[in-house]
Amino acid sequence: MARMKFIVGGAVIVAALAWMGFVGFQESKAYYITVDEYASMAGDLHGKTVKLAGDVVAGSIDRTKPRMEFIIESRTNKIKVRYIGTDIIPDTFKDGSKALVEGNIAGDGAFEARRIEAKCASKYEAEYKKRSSS
Amino acid sequence: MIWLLYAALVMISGYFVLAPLFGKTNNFDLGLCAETELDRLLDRKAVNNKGLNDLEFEYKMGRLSDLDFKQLETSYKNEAAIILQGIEQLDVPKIEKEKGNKKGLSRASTKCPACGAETAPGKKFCADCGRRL
Amino acid sequence: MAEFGNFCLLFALCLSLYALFAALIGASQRQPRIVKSAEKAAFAAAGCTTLSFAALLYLTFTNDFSISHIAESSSRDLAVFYKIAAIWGAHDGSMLLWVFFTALLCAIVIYQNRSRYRDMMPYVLAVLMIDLCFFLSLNFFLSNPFKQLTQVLADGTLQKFMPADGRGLNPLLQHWAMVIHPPILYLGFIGFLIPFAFAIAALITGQIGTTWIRTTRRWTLLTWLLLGAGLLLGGKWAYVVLGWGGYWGWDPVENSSLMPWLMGTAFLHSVIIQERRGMLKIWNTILIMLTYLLGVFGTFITRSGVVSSVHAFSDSGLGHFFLIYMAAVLIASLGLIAARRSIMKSERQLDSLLSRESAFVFNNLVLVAACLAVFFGTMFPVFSKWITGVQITLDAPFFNKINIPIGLILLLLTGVGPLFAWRKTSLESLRRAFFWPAISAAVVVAVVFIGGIRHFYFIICMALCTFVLVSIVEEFFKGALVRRETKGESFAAAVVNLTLKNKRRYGGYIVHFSIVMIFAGLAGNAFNRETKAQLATGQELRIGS
Repeated sequence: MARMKFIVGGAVIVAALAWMGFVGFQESKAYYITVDEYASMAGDLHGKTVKLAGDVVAGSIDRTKPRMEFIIESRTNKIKVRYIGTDIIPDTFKDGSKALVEGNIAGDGAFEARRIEAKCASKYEAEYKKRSSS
Repeated sequence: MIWLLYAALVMISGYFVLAPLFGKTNNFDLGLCAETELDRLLDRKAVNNKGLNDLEFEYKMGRLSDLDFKQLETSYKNEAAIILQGIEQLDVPKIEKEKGNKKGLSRASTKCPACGAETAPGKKFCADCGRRL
Repeated sequence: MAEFGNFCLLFALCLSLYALFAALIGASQRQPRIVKSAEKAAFAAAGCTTLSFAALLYLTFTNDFSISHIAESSSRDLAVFYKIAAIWGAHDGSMLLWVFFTALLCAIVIYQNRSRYRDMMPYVLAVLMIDLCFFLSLNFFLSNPFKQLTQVLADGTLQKFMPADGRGLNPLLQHWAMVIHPPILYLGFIGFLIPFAFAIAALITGQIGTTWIRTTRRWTLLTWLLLGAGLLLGGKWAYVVLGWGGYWGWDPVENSSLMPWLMGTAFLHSVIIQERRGMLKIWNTILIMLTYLLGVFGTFITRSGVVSSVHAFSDSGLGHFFLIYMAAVLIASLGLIAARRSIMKSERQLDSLLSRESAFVFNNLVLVAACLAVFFGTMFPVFSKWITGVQITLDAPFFNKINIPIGLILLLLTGVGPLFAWRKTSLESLRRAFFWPAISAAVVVAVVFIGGIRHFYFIICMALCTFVLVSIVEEFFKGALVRRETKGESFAAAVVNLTLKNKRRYGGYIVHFSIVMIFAGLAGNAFNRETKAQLATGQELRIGS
């Protein structure tokens, strides 16, 4: 009898948590892809939150428009990104830096980013590695 | 120069590691220390006693109703009886049992007062915390 | 010096391999001499790793930038304090620190038990040495901290090369918490190896009683404490140094240190049931195995680059080895448990839903659920990549959504668990035990509500915090009253003696008290307002309402 009650109680807790998890999952899931992958599956991603990783094309950052625009690229593809977020852009966001932008596809085919994360270009490290391994 | 250092390191550790292989036979036997059924029963007895003590304490704290206390006390006492019976029925020589009983007692009485760890009888210091016994 | 350090590392590996095989042979041949020799080899291995670590320390202090690791993480102008931190500021050196700690812990445990549990110790030693061998060989072969920089000359020959200065320690890591955080956290991961080793040895020798639990209890507690302290220090560092405006971001690396802590907490609680009631034997063994594996998994996450993170070392190519090791340990332990399941039956059944046992079991379920949720969220990008080919990441909202209710249930259990009696509790007894805590909680809810706060989780959290606090105070108060009566001590002396005579119980309450403090702090997050904006001169910004 106690065992039965216990199983029921456990099941209720697990079910409630699973539901909470599902809701949270819907809220926060985001596709994490590179620009190349994005180019090949852009059609499927309409209306979905996407995290897009790529390198900022040198000289492409345009701060003159009301919304800042820039281009990010990976090996073969490029895409225009419009920044519509309100957060301050991190200092590490520069020409050539690795950037991770989070947002959606806009109507005109550009990518509207609500958040930008940037990593310093890791060239330095790569150079070092090459030297030590070769 | 560096090779000398390596050789020294290897030789010192080699001696340190291999010396026990050629030493006197050690005074312990790997097979002797295994947990026996008797040990298990004595262990259960000690735990049951602790449970009974805690129950009495909590009753005095006013956390238990009289009825609960009576029922639980009986169940602990029944269990104690079953364990004692189990010890009686064990197919171990009587001396062993009494030794075991004593072992159980001495085990309880040689708990280190500072840390509660079990200590072997006759030791002067607790092996766990170093306190003088 | 670099060659010497390297040699010591290799020699330590040889010694630990010898110790592993000697322990197993000694146990199967029942030859105490061979076991003794294995133990000595473990001590010698600890000595050699210590020498190796000292060598790296020396090289760092003498600014030998021909060593790749030192050139990467240290520089001439680095303060002494941070030069030490530079040792674990990059991957290779931090592995050496890990290995150094592992070897030392193994040696201490073996020394501690040199005249106890003679039948179990060879197997304990073997498990410890398997772990040590694994990490030593990773460190020596794949992430050698003594690797020297070389450059290719114009004619194609290799030449040693020493830059004028190192790259210096990452400025983000130059913070006091970062100097002590990694060592503390590492000890918190590694320490679970000890109860795990004893659990496996107990399984092999068939002594599935409570000996292994009792004898490793302090190691488990110490490790758990250090892991918790490491988590808090990491939070402190993130709060001060990283620009997240928070102490916790559900980052993969943070998660991977939280998981063993959660699992370890579950283990600490559930072994009490095994000791008191002889139940949950298999469950406890699985818990400690998972705790240990999650510790290894944590290093795997940090070092393999499988999930991107701000804290992770860059990809070091060790991932496969970790996976193989973890799979092997998992399969071997589960196999062993399966083989021993006949003697691991519970001695009793759960008597009633309203009992201390069942509160403990619920606490375990909830902690494991939290751990699973964190695991699932952390690894989701990897799983989704396998299944659908696209990486899907989960952010803070997911973790918060699921872990806030879990945390509150845990807090509730922290409060009510100790109020239940073992075996069963009648409603009448519960009414007595719940009276003051429940009333106080109700009063706090009323005050907070009248104060105009309508935040649901905040109110619940405050109510539960009060409940737990009052129940703890009552526990000490009533216990001291009883003691004063029976022993005739003064009230103050009674409180002190009460705690000292039953450290496990009253020490536990003190830990619960600190958990309440942490929860009260977390609840304050409900009022966190964070706004980032760029303002022109004279422009105003209003935050909050």
